[in-house]
Amino acid sequence: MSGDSIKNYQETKNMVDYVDDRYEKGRVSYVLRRWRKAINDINKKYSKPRLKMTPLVRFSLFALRLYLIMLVVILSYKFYTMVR
Amino acid sequence: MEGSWYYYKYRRFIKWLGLYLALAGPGIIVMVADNDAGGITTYAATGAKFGFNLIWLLVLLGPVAYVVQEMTVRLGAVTKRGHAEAIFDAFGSFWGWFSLIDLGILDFLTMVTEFIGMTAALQIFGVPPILTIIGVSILMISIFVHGRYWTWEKIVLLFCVLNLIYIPAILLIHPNFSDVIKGLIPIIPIGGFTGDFFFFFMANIGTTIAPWMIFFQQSSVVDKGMTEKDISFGKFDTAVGAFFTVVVAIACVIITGTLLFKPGGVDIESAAQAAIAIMGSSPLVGSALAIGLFDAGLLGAMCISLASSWAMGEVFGWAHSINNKVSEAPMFYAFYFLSLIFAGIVVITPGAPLVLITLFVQVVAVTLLPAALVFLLLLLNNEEMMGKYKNTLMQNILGFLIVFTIIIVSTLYALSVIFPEMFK
Repeated sequence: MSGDSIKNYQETKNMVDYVDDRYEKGRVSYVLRRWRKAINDINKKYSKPRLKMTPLVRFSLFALRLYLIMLVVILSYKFYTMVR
Repeated sequence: MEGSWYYYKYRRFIKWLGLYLALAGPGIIVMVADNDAGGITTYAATGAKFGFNLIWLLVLLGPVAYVVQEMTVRLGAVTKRGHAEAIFDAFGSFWGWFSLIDLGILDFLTMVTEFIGMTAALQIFGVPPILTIIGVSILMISIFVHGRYWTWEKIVLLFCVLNLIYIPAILLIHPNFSDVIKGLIPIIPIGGFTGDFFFFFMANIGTTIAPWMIFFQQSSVVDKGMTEKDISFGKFDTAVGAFFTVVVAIACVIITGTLLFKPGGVDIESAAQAAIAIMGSSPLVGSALAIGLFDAGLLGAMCISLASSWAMGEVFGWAHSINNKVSEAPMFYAFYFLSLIFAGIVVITPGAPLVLITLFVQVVAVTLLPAALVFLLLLLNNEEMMGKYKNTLMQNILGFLIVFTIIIVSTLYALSVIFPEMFK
């Protein structure tokens, strides 16, 4: 191929890639993929708690879990009585 | 000699005042915004039901709010991180996502209640809800056009000053000040420890600390660029804010306690209803109550939507400073604007379950408040993170006592919302 042909080929390829990229970016699946990637990155970044797990911290987190479970049970009971 | 000493002291004071005025903002804003539309409704209903008898409780709640919020100043200034990011970092992604998602839902629902308050307040003056929503949205969006934290803060502080409208209103109604002073003495009103009393007791404590306040002030301190050396100013700022929040709450109780309260108590369902009732006897005071309610809702909506946007920006790594222009932090501002607009749309949607949303806010709040408060205390006790700014023994005793009390009372309050007959 001559120099001009190569240049034209490259320009056309760039244009096609650009259009593909624009089209891809506008799609819901692209947006969802990006969000999923962002969430995975965050999970990876914060996979290990930085705070030292002393007995006090462990107990506090355990108590919080119990408290939240209790709330879920109460709300479920309320929902059940409302539906019934 | 003595004259120059006084001059030296005067110069030092002026210098200190200048520095304080430059650093003032987050504490005052968060505390005044704490008296949001829901808060004003609680105070108005308390005054109508119990007169001045619960003023002592409001006075006690100022220091309570200060103790909690002061911790966010230290945490933000030392770690340079917002509360959401701090939770992710310190406790891992499980508690991080729990807090972030819960905060997002809670803030959105609370914003809906702020819009309900604002539309109800302006309806008194004949403004249709849709116009209020459009006007408020334009106002709240235009505040950010400058892309400067300083400008945003000073505009919001102006709205904080408007929140003091209840104070001149008191002068118009000539309340019995000896009765007001008697209200400062902690007593249980005539009728004893009834279900109603307990409900109002819990409701007033429940309005003192909301989860968004913790997230907002810490992020605000970080966005303002406050450092360790500014902590004393931040604490003073929070104390000033706590003082004003108590003053506004008491003023509101004095107004409805003077004009609406009758022996046996009067039941009102909203501050707007109180304003309409007062309009008949005193149009100026009724108008002041309505304007104050609108302003409270506006301040609440401004701060709550920002608290969520800051939290999202911190965690997702978006540019998330008010110092950024809209083009520089598109996701941060998009989240802010969209949450505003959707909250407004919910309010004007025919048949939207607004009463259910208002009640549901209390229930969602108790899923996040204990976690946010416990995380705050644990973070403030971490020497590696806080260094010499970690909690002292006295701060821990006070902090644990207050946090424990708030968790118990807020949970009971939420239960009373879920099961209305529980404390009758």
